[in-house]
Amino acid sequence: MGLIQEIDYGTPIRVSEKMVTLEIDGVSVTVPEGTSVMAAAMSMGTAIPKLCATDSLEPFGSCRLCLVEIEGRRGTPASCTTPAENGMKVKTQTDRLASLRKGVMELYISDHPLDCLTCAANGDCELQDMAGVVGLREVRYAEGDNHFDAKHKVEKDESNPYFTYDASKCIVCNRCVRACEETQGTFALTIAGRGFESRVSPGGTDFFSSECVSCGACVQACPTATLQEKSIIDHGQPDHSVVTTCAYCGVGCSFKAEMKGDKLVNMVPYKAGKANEGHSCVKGRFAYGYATHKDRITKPMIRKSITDEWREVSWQEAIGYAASEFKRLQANYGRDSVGAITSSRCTNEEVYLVQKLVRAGFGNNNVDTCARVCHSPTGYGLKQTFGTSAGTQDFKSVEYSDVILVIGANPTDGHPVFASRMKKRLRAGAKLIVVDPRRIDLVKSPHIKADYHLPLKPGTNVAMVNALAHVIVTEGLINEDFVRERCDLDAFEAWARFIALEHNSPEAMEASTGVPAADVRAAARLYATGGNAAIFYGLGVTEHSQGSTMVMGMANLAMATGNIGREGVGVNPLRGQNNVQGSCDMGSFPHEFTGYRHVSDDATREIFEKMWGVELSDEQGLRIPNMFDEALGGGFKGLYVQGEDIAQSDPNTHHVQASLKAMECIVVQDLFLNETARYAHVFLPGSSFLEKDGTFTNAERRINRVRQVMAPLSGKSELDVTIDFAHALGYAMPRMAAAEIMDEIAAVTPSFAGVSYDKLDKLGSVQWPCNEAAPEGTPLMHADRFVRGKGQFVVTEYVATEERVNARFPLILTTGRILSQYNVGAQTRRTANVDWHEEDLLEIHPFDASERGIVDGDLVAIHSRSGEVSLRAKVTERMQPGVVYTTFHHPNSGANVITTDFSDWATNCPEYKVTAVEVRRTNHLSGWQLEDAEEGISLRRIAGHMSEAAE
Amino acid sequence: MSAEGFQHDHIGKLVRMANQIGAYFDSQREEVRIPGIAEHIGQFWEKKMRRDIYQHLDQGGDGLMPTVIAALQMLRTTDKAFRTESKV
Repeated sequence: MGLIQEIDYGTPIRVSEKMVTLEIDGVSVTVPEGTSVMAAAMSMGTAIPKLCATDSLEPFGSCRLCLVEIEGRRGTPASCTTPAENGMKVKTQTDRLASLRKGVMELYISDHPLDCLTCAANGDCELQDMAGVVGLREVRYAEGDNHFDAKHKVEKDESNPYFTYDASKCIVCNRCVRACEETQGTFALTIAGRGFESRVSPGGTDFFSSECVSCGACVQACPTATLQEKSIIDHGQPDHSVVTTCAYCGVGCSFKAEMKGDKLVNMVPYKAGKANEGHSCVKGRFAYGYATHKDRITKPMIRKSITDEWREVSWQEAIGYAASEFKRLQANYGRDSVGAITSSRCTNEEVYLVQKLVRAGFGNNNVDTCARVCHSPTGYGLKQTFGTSAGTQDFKSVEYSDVILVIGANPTDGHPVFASRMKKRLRAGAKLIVVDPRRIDLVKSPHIKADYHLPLKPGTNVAMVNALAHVIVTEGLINEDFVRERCDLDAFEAWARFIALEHNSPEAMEASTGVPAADVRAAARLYATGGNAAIFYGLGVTEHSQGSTMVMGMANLAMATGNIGREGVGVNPLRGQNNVQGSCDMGSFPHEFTGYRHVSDDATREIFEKMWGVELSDEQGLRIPNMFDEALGGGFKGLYVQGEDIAQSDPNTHHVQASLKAMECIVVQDLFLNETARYAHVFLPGSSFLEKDGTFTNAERRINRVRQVMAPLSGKSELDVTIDFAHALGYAMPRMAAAEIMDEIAAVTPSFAGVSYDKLDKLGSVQWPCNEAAPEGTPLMHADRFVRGKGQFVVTEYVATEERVNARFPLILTTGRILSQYNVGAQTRRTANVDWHEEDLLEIHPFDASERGIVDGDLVAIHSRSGEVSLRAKVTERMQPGVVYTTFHHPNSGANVITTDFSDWATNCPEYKVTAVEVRRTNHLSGWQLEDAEEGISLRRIAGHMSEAAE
Repeated sequence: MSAEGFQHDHIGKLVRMANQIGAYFDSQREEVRIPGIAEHIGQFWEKKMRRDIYQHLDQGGDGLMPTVIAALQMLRTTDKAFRTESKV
């Protein structure tokens, strides 16, 4: 197998319609205009020596190694900074060049330690390679000033948990500084000092304390051992690799998982990965240690009551017990008394089998997934307006945007690799409008400044989008040609009449949103007239009682201005989980089969009945929140939870916990004994993404391969766990490998008809729909026509949420995420990422803090109508007066103890983003937190194991 | 944190959810208002939820918006799951 090597062309690949033809070393080569001579040479297999050049970064021209001779030109130009031109005649190797290159290397090596044999970069060092390539045999410079001997050496910076910075090996090629600027966009590094004293600096402090976000782009770019992964230092160079997909967020970065045996040593972003093109964030690149963490449960366990100790048993006994319980429950309480929740983190194939188990095995449609609590309004809203419940573009499309409108999303934290792309485009001149109650990083950070920040009050999204649309309609900024050609005119006219009403104007809405009307008008004009305008949005849009309405409101905006159906525009949901898009596509919905077809549709149901060999229910099942309600009502008794932690992530924790306790058999299939497992009776150990073959689908509708790195620690694949469960229940689910399951999915799902593992291996990835009409997939949707035919405008009246502030609860709590931790933290809390975020904090504006006598670091009690928890306060002007904020990465924070029961009218997506609270100083944790800490231990005991402190 | 101690107003929640749907459709054209509510509940509410809200309707439909009441009455006549059941 070996290590997958990717060609480094030295300078970025240029795209151009125009081609140029030149001659390099007597061979003719044709390349797109704008390509450097270096890249042109590499494209024909000639690797011109280089050190400061790498194809993820713009050419720099500092190392002077890549010099060439060009006929008719004086001197020896650097091939990295010289564009190829028609008729050029280049020589890459002459005596003069050889001598110059040797001289350059001699200078570099004169200030470099010669400990290659024990250096961590041995075998993967470009400096070493270049010394060999130029034929360096001696370094004639006498001992003198240097940066590496005992007298001059500076101590290694090991502050970052994942990589070290050893200044003694640095050749000041600037690749790291440029990577931090161009690739990541954080600008955390610089070169301090001048001349010989030039040294890389993370800004006068160590890496961990600096603005570095630990994305690893600098480490990847570094040609020596100066910036080096600690895993390589510890384990040595890997020997083989596979390409797989990250299991964190919905960007779905492709990685080369580099291994020694079955041990993962390094995750290197894959340049050919279309979602990330060689970049990554701290989580995907470094935080994979959770897969082999000591908390991993690898043996099946059962118990009769949740207060009993867990008992380790065989797979057969565990699955047999789960099946006998589910059979008993259905016999006693009815066929509809059991259900399942599929994981948005498991593969498409695994999820497909669970919904198949529910439909064909349980005989009902009680299956749902975590999209319920995040992007289900996207599904409803985009289906109503466009006809398809998924994003319209790919990430690369942002490169063509002129105006970027970010609503209710914080991409630099939540979708960092996409944010890097976005920031690159912003630095190149695109305009930015941010609609968010908080001053997120995108509003102002190095080289980035929002043209408009509209800091609306949480809960007023629809008021805002209506105000923006009002400006566009009343100021004559509609793209009439587009609307006439592509949209339903009756619906448009009804909408235009509605939106033009005075109560939708920015001036009228100002009292609700808190945003000055002038800013809203200016932002609207920019969106409508600034060129290609793209909307990117997240859970700040969907997790509201009018989430679906807001999605339709944004779709209205895009249609009205003709910003659909080409590069650089669109309505782009930033989907959260690595496979939430996939689990939705796979029919993990109580009302829909795969491909978003309603269960009551006879023709669709027949396809599945034929494929699965059983009669299927035509009645939609329970959504997750409804499962909880039914459990409390006594009608829902058994739940199979695949890779989901509802006890931590769902709102109104008191409600969730009471519901789980009311059920009689909960089966949890997961990596760890998570919060939900406390209430479980059967624990089936799952596998991490490193232990499985399958596919994930990211926010671009891009189906990416996941490839197995090591065998499942539990000894059984998750596919087999579900199949065995089905068999024990009496449904003869055929045993199939991942590729065969994808073939079945393709056979029953028109939008997946052309997908196969062969095609994925050949093309790398494919964006659905992929079928006869689009055999290589569909990057851009609604190009000539909307999926539903004509785009449908929908009237979106603003209805204030029922969750109101009053004297008792005068502040609004909203929630979000940070970069280093991921969602409920089950994975990231079990890695060194905890160094960055040990606890969830309550962010509060100085004005609100001082009114309550709160200073930074104080323990404060946050009290809502649902419950109370205590957190440490962080006083910050990123908040606005009247709004507080926290994250939910640590279970004992209990952020969801305070969130409410309110939800989106159409989909029941919980209104996490608006909770009326009061905050006051306290000196103790809340009652819930104390009970939770105790239950965290008592409900997790495993017979025969020493009891360990809860997380 | 016992299940018994937790207060849950099941019907109250269903009424609230139904009224939320009603509030949305209030903003739509008159001719799609009631059918829209009926279709939405028919497509997305599980059988037991529909049974419970029909029962509440039979007991007076306290708290339900007029359009929601009309929609539920309309939905019930075509609701396959309950066609053979007699009104309580």
